[in-house]
Amino acid sequence: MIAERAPSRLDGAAGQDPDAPPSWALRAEPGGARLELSGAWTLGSALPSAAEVAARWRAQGAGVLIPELVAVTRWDGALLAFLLALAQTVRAGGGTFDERGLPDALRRVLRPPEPAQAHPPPPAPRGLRRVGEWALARLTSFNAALELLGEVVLGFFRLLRGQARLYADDVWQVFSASSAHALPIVAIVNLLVGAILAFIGSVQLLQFGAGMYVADGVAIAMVREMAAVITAVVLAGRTGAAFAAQLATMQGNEEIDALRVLGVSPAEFLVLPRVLALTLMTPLLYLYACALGILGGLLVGSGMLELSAASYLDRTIGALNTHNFVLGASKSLVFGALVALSGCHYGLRAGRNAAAVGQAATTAVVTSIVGVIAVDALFAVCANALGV
Amino acid sequence: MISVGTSLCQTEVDESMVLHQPAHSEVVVEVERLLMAYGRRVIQREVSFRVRRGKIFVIMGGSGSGKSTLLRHLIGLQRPLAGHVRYGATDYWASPPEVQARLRRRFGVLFQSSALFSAMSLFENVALPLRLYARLPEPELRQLVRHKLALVGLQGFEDYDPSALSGGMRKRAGLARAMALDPEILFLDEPSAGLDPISSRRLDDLVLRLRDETGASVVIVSHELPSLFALGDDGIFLDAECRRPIAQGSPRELLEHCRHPTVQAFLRREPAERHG
Ligand SMILES: Nc1ncnc2c1ncn2[C@@H]1O[C@H](COP(=O)(O)OP(=O)(O)OP(=O)(O)O)[C@@H](O)[C@H]1O
Ligand SMILES: [Mg+2]
Repeated sequence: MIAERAPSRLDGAAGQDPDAPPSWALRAEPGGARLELSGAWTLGSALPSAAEVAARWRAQGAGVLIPELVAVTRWDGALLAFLLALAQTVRAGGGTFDERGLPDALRRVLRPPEPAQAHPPPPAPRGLRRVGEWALARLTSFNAALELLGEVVLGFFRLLRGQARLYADDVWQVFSASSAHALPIVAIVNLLVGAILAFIGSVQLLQFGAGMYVADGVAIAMVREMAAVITAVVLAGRTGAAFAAQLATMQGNEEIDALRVLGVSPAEFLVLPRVLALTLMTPLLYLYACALGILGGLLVGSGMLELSAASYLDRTIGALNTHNFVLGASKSLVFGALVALSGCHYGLRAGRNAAAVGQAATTAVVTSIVGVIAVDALFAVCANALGV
Repeated sequence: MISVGTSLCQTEVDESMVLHQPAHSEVVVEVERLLMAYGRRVIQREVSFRVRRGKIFVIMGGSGSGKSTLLRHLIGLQRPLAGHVRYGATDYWASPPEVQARLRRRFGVLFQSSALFSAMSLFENVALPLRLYARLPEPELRQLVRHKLALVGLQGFEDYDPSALSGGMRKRAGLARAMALDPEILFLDEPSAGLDPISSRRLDDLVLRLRDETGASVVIVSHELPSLFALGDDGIFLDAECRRPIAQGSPRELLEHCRHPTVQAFLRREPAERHG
């Protein structure tokens, strides 16, 4: 678009080096100054700054400024940018920018702007007001999350009464995405975590000749804490982010609006199956994660301790009781619901563009992970108080 | 860059411009002094008009003037800052949710971005409203959905995913879904955008036929001049600069009688003259 154009006044440019650097000179005139430009004013060259020129013009007594291309060999958008900036500074400083000596293409753009109705975006809030608006936005978001939770719970009761409107294909798809499809990643991560725990445990405990306790440590750590937390974190990154992105995209496509107009509550139609799927599937994935974590511990632990697999497992079973499993499973139930709700919540609140989809996914994941850790801490306090 | 000058913005809608409908035609939608805004930014103010039964009402205006926003206020997706939207004697925004839901059942909506449900096939998209509100046995439902898709020229595409369709095909599928429940009022946001001239003409004919057969009222947002002239019985022109309607009447009447430069420029497809 910014093709190089021939300068309008070639007489001054004749015989000049076409690549001469851009330069300018200010000549005093009665009532103002004449700005003589020469050289190649192109986007690739180092341009003089309009502010500098304006400063000189001001120092010479301001007034009218008449730019002229006396020996400009080539010019493009760079010259236009320079002149636009200059015109604005001169006009803002109360001077007159006289563009009439310029080539047509430049003159048209540089004409004094007509008083047009401006469309200023609402001013960005500042200072305390900004803090206040931020806090209010958080509060609204929190209220909306609670509202969503309420709607989902109501939808669940309607489902029990057989009145909920779900779309079978979508439900099936959501269930398999949040369970079967997550098996490999949950397996790998928990296997490795179990192995790492066993490795650290062996190195430390062998120093005290307490190598036997590695199996106990791995088993209790996995079943009470790690399996539930690690699985929740994996699901937050995998399924929670997917929920947020899906719903945000649907928001952008006006699909959510279309559902509302059809009288279908998005909370029931879209959120309920997702929350249900993760809430029901996370405990199952947790059990699977426990098994793989213990297997990881066994692979490393039995090797480092020169223990047979049977006796390692024996110690593992001895260390565990049903309390541990109940604690871990209830945690993962809550984590699943939390991850799903957070994903859906941010997805539904997303704006209507592509950037909003990414943002919704990121916010959902971050919130889920922080939430999971916080809830885990809460569980730890409660378990301690209850003595489990 | 339309230099209508602010003075023209202040002019009231020319009364002679308002289409005088025969008194007996019943008003199905009545909009009164609607004020629409996003946050603190006002999009349009003082929007008032009536849609009569069996008529096609067009919402005109430049890009970004608030046509889609107005539609969202009509179909219950966005609450106006002030003003009323009445369906018959019922003020939509003053009604309890059950009444609103009942009113919405009478609407068919085609969104600007088609809004097909991406998780469902074309067939399921059109079938969903029927599954929700019609008590049809499966074989009858299948036939009806096929028929609706054939109406918009999409027979044979029942099993396609929306993502596998072109923009124009999605528009037509969206129209088929909007018509699924034989709505009393059809709201169409740029139905012919993205269609070739022939499909666009077919769509206009379809809308006309539908109106004639079912007596539905239609509210259309459109930029396509041929469609506007072929369809519009009445209409309103929203101006982006003054953020209020600047003309009312059918596109033909406006072309002949409205002196507002923006309206003339729009309907004649000419950039408005600049002063100087
Ligand atoms: N979600 C939103 N939040 C804030 N402002 C919005 C939003 N949606 C639209 N707007 C603003 O409202 C104005 C009207 O938008 P709208 O989509 O109604 O225009 P339109 O007349 O339908 O335009 P087009 O013909 O391009 O579809 C625009 O200026 C836009 O910036
Ligand atoms: Mg629009």
